[in-house]
Amino acid sequence: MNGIDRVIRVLTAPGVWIRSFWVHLLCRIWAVPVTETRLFQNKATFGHLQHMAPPTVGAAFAIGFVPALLNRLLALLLFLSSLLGLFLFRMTGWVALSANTLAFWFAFSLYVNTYPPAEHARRMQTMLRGQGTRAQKILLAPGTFCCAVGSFLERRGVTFLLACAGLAALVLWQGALFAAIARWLPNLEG
Amino acid sequence: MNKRENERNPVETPAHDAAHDALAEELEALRDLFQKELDRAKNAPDDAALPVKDGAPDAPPDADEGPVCACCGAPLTDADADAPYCEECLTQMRTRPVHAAAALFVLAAFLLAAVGLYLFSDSAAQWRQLFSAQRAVQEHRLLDAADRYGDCFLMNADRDSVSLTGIKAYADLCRSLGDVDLAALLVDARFPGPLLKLPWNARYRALLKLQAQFAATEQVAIDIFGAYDDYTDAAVYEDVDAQLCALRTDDTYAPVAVEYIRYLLMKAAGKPAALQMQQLEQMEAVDDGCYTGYYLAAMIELAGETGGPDAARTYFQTAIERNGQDQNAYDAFVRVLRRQPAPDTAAIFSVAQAAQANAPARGKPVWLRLFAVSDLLRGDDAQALREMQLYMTACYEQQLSLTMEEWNLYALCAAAAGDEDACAQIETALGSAQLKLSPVIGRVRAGTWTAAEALRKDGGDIA
Repeated sequence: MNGIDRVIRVLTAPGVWIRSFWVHLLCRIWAVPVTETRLFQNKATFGHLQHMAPPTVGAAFAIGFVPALLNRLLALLLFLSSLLGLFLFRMTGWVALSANTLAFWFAFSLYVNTYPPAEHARRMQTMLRGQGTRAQKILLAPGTFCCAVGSFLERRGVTFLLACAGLAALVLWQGALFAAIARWLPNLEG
Repeated sequence: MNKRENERNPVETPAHDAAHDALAEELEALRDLFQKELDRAKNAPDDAALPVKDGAPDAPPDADEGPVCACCGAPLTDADADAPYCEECLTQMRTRPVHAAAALFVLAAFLLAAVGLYLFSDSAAQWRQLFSAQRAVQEHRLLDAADRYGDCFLMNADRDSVSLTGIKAYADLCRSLGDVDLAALLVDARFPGPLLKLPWNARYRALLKLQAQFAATEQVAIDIFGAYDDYTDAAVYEDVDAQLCALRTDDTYAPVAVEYIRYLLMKAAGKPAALQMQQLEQMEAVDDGCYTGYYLAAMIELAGETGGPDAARTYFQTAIERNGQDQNAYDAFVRVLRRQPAPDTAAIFSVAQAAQANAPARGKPVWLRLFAVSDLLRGDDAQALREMQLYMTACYEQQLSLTMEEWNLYALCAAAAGDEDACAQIETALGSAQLKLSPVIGRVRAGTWTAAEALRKDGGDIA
């Protein structure tokens, strides 16, 4: 883990830990032995759950891909209200402001900690290539590819930077976005 | 690769990089230690080199004890000899409880999502109004937009949480509609104080200042005007104008207000239309779009007086492009058109139609009145009266009170249609408030003037 990755993971700790939670849950479902569960360590294994290799291609895919999916869905749910409340409508009032800020931090953390480590992604690819049936290869290849690319980008801080850039764009062009949505939405007068 | 083989090869993780380094160091240390022990054994006497345990001559050496569990250190059985852990440890690892803190974070995330959804649904009505208002602004329906924003902030008058985007948009709208008082009130009441101090919110701070300056100028002007009764007197006019001009240099007063009051003075003094127009242009020059409502309609009428309908049309187009629902602009342009020696009835009708199309609900009283004027000029007096009766209903529905000029138009329609009862009713209603119809109406009732003549030569008595 390089320095940038480490700083990002500390800043977005909720996303790291929630991802580990999903991985652990899936490991228990597939009876994969978990060798290390200490998540709060100020070292290379910060927030990382160590487990043994999954027994089957399906399990390897699920453990690599399902947490990504769950993190993204949860991030979407949290972004829905927090982005609108914080950056589009800019709601005032302490309750809305604090709830939206916290929800935004969680959503952002989940968004930038989606994919498995690069080694896991490689393992998924190797297992799929070596042990996967033809149907598995067809069905699981896109997800495996996504995991590999996402992992590559995530570990180099690209996802984090892209998310920051998107946020900056939202803040800068808030007015234009608001006007565009108003124009694009169906007539709401009733 | 089977399950057992997978378990023998734990997944390489980033942690393994660090672990690998540590292992390498450990192996290095072990090698040194082993080398030292070997050297020592070589140098030792022969009888001490091979210790023999009493009573266990056949015991196997340590190297032959076989692999042990990497977790608990217990020897591995044949069944799990190819795994790094014993079966008991593997079972424990498979059923390890999930980290409590991670589970708490998951719970917190779902809780926040639930709170977010609640806030979303709670604010949805407010956001809907804001989008709707924004759309109206885009379509130059500024009065509809003002209604939407008004509803939105009325709906949330007692709420702590309102949209800052909405507050800004409403303040901007009030500003462009010329209602700086409302804009300042809104900023003062709903704009969070710490945010107002930020540099990019300077224009909203400026609104408060402008409103205070305008009010101060009005107050001083009332004192200046109060000293005189007749402003048509040249000396009085010069004195008042000089006092007003002196306010320009003082930062306490708004230059735009000074110019506007100077225009009112010119109007009261009966100065020529060209001079008044010049004064309004001067006002426009010092205004940054806040008080267009004060001078655009007046400019349409003055341009009509000085340059005819074509000159007025330019200002009318400007006003309509800015706000398609500018009722004062429609009114002013129709007044210009109807006062021409040969009024263009088709043009008046099309202006009324445009007013109807741009503000079918909000502008109903205005376009009904304009249609009544159009009908009067085309000689359809009965239809004009019907329009005015509908106009009265629309005013009642929108809780609008009628001006004297509007009463006069209603009476004119009744007189032109020969409905004496309606005329008498209007007279009675006005009489109870000690008001009288314009003499123009008397001339139409007496048959001296036609309705078209009354509209052309009304002297400002008819709306």
